[in-house]
Amino acid sequence: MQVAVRHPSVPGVLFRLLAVFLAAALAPLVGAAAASAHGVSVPIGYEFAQTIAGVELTVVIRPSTAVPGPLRVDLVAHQTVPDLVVDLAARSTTCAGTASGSLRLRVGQPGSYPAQLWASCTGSYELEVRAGGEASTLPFRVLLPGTAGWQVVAYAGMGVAGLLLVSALLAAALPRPALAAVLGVATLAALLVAGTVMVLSADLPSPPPAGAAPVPAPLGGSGRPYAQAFIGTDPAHPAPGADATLRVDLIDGATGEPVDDLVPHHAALAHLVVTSLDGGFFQHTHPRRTGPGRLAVRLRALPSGEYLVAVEFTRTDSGSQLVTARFAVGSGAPVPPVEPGRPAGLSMTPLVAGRPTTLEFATGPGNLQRWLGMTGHLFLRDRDGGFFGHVHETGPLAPGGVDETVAVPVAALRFTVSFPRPGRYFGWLQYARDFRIMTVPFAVDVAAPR
Amino acid sequence: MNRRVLFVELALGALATAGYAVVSWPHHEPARFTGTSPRYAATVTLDRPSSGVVDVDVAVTARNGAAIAVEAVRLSATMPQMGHVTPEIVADRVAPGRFRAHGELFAMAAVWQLAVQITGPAGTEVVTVEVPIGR
Repeated sequence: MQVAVRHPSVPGVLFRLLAVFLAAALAPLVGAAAASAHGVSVPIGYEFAQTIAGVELTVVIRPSTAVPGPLRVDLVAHQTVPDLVVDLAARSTTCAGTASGSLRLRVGQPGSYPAQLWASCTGSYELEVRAGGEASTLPFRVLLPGTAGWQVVAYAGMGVAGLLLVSALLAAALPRPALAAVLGVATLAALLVAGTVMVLSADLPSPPPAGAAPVPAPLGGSGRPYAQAFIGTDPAHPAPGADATLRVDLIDGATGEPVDDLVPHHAALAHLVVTSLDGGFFQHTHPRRTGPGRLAVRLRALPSGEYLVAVEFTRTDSGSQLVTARFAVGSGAPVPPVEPGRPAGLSMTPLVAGRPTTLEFATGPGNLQRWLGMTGHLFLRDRDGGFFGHVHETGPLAPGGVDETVAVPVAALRFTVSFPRPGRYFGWLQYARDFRIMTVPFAVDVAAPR
Repeated sequence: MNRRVLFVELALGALATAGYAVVSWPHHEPARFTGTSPRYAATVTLDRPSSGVVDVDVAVTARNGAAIAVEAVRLSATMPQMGHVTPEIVADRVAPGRFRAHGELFAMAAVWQLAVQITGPAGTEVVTVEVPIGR
């Protein structure tokens, strides 16, 4: 018995190839690589929280899509917002490009204030933010996605396959079936090469974006040398109730030179927390960068007492570091201490030193906004100031890629932490709602393990 | 036809290998870097971006590119990754706005920050360029 085998016709094969070609050609459009670098979020851009002129601002420098081209800067103002003019100037340290602009915050109106500057080239920049007689210079980079070798191969392969396919169709129409078959096989080969590269592309290295810093070769070990700090107030002996400027000079422990390679860590170059020794005062600020390795923040109307300073920061290619200091206001006489207690809505598992404790705070009705990269922050300090902890909320995460203007439904904030030793701890829990930063202070006594 | 296909494949493979070799072959061509400070612009040319003794040419203009009378240029390099800093080198003036320095600025292969301290009509400022240094 003979079995008839039906061979597909040459045009039929070519039309199938055309379908494969179109499908493969569209594949690279999905999941295209974007520019990235340490300290910058790809969808949001750079975020720098700044305490300037008494306002808590988050400066958001959006990713550029074309260079030369517009450089979008958003200021997210948190309550309390005064009537304030903010001057912005973006200055390249790679080329001669400079652009400036200004905007006005309206009293009592928090939220996002957009500004548009100009980027003349890719590479390193400084954004000067000036308001109320204070200034900060923020380092950032203008980046554009680079093109990888595999992308060139994939796109060239698809292009060649397209040309071959059209040629094969023409050859089939003439009709020149032999030539059409050869061209069809060549089309298949080109598709195979391009398709293989596309499939493997997820595991192939991405090219550095244009404008990125040179990437150092691994040299064994990780991170940069430790930093140390000179921390002082101006004036040196602040009077009770008067303003004072806290200055932090960061020095590299290996070179003795200023540490000028800070990257945004939880949306700030540095987080500076001032607490009174007795736990009655707490302020979480984000100092201005006043020069290479130099930070400053203005503290308003500090009552008499002894104060502890903790500064968190992250150097490029390094983990976070903490430097601490103390200073006194007036005679150093303490304000009334915080007694152990739990504010309404705060619950916690048994407090035993060395064992994880979960604290949960019911935030009540209404949505919360992400602030400093997280939905909630918890600061802890022991009685003497020997321990300082910054804990992040561990509940359901807010959707990624959203900035501080987006509110999400969150009913409770959860933090899990181990108290290292028994004794009295002061805590301050922070979150953002309606562009207002809420602070919940409390104090607890932690028992020794049995 | 099979032989032809094999020949074409071999030729393409040889071409790809040769191209890769040309691209990846170690070479020490002069390397040029540009940077700006608030008032100055500097173009730094290294005779070879490698460790050891190097010749460095520095061309200084105003930030907007205009020619200016520069009094002095000093160079020093820092390797932030491991915390190394090299002694300062005073560059010699070879022409208006053009300086040359000779010395050991880069102790090892790494990314170095080359600080170009410029003293001119607008005062003293520092232009910093990031320099990848090979062996």
